Amino acid sequence: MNSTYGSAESTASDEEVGTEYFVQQGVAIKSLSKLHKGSKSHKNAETHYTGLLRIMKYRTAKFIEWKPTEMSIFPDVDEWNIVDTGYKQNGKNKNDRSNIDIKINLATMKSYKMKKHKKHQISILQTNGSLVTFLFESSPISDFVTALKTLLHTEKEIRHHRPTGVILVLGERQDSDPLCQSIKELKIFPDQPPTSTVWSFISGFQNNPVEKTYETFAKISDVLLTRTPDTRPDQEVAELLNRAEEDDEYTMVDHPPPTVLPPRPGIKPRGNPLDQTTFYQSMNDEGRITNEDYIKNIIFYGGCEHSIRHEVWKYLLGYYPWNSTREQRINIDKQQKTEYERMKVQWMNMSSDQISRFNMYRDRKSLIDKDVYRTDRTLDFYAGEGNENLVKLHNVLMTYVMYNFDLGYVQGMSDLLSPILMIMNSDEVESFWCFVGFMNRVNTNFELKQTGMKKQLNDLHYLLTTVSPKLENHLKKMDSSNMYFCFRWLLVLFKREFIYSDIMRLWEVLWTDIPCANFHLLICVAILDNEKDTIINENYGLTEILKHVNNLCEQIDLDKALTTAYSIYEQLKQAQPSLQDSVNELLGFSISHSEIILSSDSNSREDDYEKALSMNYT
Amino acid sequence: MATRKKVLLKVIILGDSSVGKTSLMNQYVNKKFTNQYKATIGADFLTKEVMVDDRIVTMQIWDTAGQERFQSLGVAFYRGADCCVLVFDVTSPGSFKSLDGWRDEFLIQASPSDPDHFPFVVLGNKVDLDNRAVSTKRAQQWCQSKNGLPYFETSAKEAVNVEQAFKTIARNALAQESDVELYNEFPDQIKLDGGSTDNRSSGSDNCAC
Repeated sequence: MNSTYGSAESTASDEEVGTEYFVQQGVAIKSLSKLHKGSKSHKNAETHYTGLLRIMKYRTAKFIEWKPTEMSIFPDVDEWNIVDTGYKQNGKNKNDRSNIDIKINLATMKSYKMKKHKKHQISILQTNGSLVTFLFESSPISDFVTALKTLLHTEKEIRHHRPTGVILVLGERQDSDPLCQSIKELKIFPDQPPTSTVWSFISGFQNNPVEKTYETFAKISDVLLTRTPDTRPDQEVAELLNRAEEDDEYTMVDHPPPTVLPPRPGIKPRGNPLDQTTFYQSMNDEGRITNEDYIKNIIFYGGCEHSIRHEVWKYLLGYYPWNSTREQRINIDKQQKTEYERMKVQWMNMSSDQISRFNMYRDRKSLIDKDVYRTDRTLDFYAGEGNENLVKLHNVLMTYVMYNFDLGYVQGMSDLLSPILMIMNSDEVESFWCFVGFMNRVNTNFELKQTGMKKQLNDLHYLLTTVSPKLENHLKKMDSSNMYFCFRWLLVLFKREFIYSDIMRLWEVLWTDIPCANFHLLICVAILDNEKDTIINENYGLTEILKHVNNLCEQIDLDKALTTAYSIYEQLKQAQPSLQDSVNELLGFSISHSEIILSSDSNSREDDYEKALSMNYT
Repeated sequence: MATRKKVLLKVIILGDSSVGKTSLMNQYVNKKFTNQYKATIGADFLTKEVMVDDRIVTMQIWDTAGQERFQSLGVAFYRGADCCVLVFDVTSPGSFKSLDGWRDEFLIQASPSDPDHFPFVVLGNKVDLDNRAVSTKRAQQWCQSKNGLPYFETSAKEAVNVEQAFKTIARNALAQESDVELYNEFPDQIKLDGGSTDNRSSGSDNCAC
């Protein structure tokens, strides 16, 4: 493995110490290159390292540098394209992964693009065609981008009179650039490097514009009073403000003016559920399901017959691969049973003495104990004292704590498990692994920092702005644009909103990922759109909206919601070229430039959807 | 005394998961109890019209999720609270220990104008159960140490002390509200505070419950 790019510079810079221009901990990388496109290794490329991101200034060049700090996740070495992504491996030993680091010469940057897909990320394309993506776990990406912008001349890429979201790099700014100079001159924060002033101001501005502007202007006026400026700071600050506003591809709060959408197309009515005969006939002699897309498509349109849910859910939730043979499935059953028992024994063998010194375990257990006894007790399946199914619910949740101790147990999880346990006829092993599959889809909802929920509420707001600007406008007026009133819908995927039979049908529809992985957000939009007249005409405020939405519980017509949501999807699809990138991305519509950075998942989903459609209309 | 505006009192119930927040609210508002309540997700509220001394007031009682991580998103609803009810379970020492945290959380999130005198009321719930683990004395001592907060031992299940507790909650919340109104007598401040009172009154008019 050799490094094809920047070797001379990096050698030079190895000797030279250089100055830190920007530093950020906790940034992960993801790397995909053109060579990988279409290859199987795409799938593992999501695996990432976390590390330290810096912009370094050396005598002759400036570099974006990244070094890993956390080595907990190791992708298969073969999945990493060391040649083309600008990786440099210092260690002689190929397995010595702690020495992998990345250097990107700013002079070789071609363009970059920010995205919000689960995490904030920035993908940097270099002139040699290689691409590096940095994922910002918890820190704001805006600081890094601001730093870049102070070093680079950039321009938004425009196609068809609309910005594509790609920022083209025109060249490096010189150190004598007035912007850099004037900030140095200002010395607003004497004990910090001048550049950090810029992005602390700008990120502060984005969060709290009025306050931050006053604060900074106050500092500037201090400067003006105490010394005679040889620059014109107010102009520079005005420029900084403009820069902060330029990042509209990233800003979450201010959405651009909505596009006028075409009318909603008529949609094929809901169909019949997948029946036993069709399902088993789709298997070949070995028991492989030969036409996964066809089956999923039927489920999307009509759900499953209750009698085969026990089998079908195992596929939908990833317990059985769709193309597995009968024999493989028997093996899976065996292996997963052993694995489940192994983890179950871990908590069952915990002595009370041990538990007394294991606070985190105790907290998780105590929450489970409390929640199991208040999960769906009105259903016969869980009703009555001493119900065995409560014990099983408890066991599966406790074992999940051992499976994923960091996430542990969070309220709402018992709601997600309850229907699964019922469908799996109280089988703990099958329920556990199906629950794991479900949790893999939604675990970010339960994170401590609630980033997953915040992102979803924000995404929902984005969609609503596009689909129903009138309602969005009202929500904004009523201080409700945080969409908090949809929190319950999203946290447990409508579990509390529908009767039991409906929730099973809704979930299996969502698990098909047809037409896109964020279809649940479109369902939210569909339901809200249906309530829009009431909310607006009654002039509901913050509390009334929440009450109204909470009161929709078990009042929503599922078929209507699903049909409307799909119709909205089709409507947006027609308007796709004029939609914001972020909306396109949410719905899995491909975006021109970023084909190479689209994850394999969204690609295949798009394919699935196309196939499904063609099957339906031919 | 001359003007009798319709008053809306906003009350927030906080406390650990499963201490009985939803049950207390339902017992007070709907006079019913069931042990089939689910864990609260998100936030919800119920309203009830009550007489406090000679005034009719509407209480808007907010029930929230008990798991801490869910607090951050619902803070919008804390704002403008007139009283905060801190609930613990007398059979769970942990839930009692959490009271400090809940109190602080509320003061930070709701940031009332006069935090030292903001009305909190403490409820030790589930006194109907046998396995009591937090003594009355211990709870009272804690309440004393916090400027003498009113303390009630309740059973939402058997409707013990619930009515009395909420009567105090309403009265203390109203006292808080009246303090605000007092300032309205200064002409310069009418606009500011009068505006907010109007908003909230109209809120209660529209309320479906």
